Amino acid sequence: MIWRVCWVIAVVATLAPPVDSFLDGSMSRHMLLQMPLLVVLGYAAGLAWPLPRFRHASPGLAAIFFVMGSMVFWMLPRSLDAAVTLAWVDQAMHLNMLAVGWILVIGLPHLSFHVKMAFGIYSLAMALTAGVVYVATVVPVCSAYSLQQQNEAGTLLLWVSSALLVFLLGRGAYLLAAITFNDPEEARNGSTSRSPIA
Amino acid sequence: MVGKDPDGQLKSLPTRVVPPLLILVVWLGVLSWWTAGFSAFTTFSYTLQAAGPLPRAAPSFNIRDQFGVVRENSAFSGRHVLLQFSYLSCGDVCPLSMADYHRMHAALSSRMPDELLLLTVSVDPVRDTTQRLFTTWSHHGRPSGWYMAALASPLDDRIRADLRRLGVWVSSRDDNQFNHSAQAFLLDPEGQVVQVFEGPGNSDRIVAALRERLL
Repeated sequence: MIWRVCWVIAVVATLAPPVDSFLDGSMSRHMLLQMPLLVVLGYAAGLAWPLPRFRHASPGLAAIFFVMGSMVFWMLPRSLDAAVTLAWVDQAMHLNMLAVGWILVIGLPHLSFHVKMAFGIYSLAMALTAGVVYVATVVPVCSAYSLQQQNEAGTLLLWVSSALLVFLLGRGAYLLAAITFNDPEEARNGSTSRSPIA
Repeated sequence: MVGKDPDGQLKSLPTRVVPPLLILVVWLGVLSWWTAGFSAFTTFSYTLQAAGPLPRAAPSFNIRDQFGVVRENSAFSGRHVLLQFSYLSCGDVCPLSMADYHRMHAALSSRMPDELLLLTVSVDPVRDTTQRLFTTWSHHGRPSGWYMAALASPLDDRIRADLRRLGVWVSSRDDNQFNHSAQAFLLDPEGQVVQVFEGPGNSDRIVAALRERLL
């Protein structure tokens, strides 16, 4: 009960107009603070209000497509602009990011280690590409932010995505090594269903 | 056909495949709608797409040039006009565009002003006074056939709508700066937009295209 109350307080605080305006005020805060924060809050909601198990569907792949679609959509410069200039788009973005976190709780346990790795690497590659675009272009691609803010957001996106990619690859290598040494036969067959994160 | 998920539940193939495919199709539909068929990913490019196919009539709006003369942009009809928007306090894109215009004027000065005019219009008429426009024009060597103008009145919804019909997006930021489309629009002698050039840093290609058109 206490967690649910804390969750509601956290969401209300994050979406309160002054906080929302502050987070929307710079491209870095918008992309690298507000969106991940809402995803984390959505994930927390999935833990606080667990859904009954899906008996007749495979939510893993559906969850991946939903999350990837959401990421692609909100990385578009036009979407970023609209989230700043149009209130209904901003609210749609909040709901979508909360839903992404919530759906990850449902979908992640159904994904194998390989799919999780592929999903993570692809997402980070997409973020790295966006970072390169924001750093390299000499004209603003977002109409709501300055070129300086765009370059700053691109640089931060590159750093954060690179760090996460190194972490992900390191973790993947560690887990594969652990499986190989514990059960070489299973590793040879490519099955990692008993891996710690499967 | 059945499969088994990590929980050990048996599922038929359609049950496994249809929900993810449905989500994929919905997202592709949303993305296609939002980006005008995967062709416009920024507000600037979407505004340009939404203005319609070329050639199209250029909307008319009032401008004040470096001599203080107020007129409609359509007053320049009868020759080709290369039109671009900028403002003098801009610290990033506009100086590059102005440098492009300087190079283009040097390359095409023999065709100006009879066949071709260069027209830069400031979206910041409050700060870009006639004096400031004239001084900037003088710094460029007082080029004949290059009009440095500003909108005759500050941006309002009506002007923004006119500019959107041209394919130009302008927004003012909290720091008193503007974000605006950086494309250059070529208007033919009848006042039709016939070509749009991406900018800045594209002056050689624009000069080549203009030479071809002015043959």
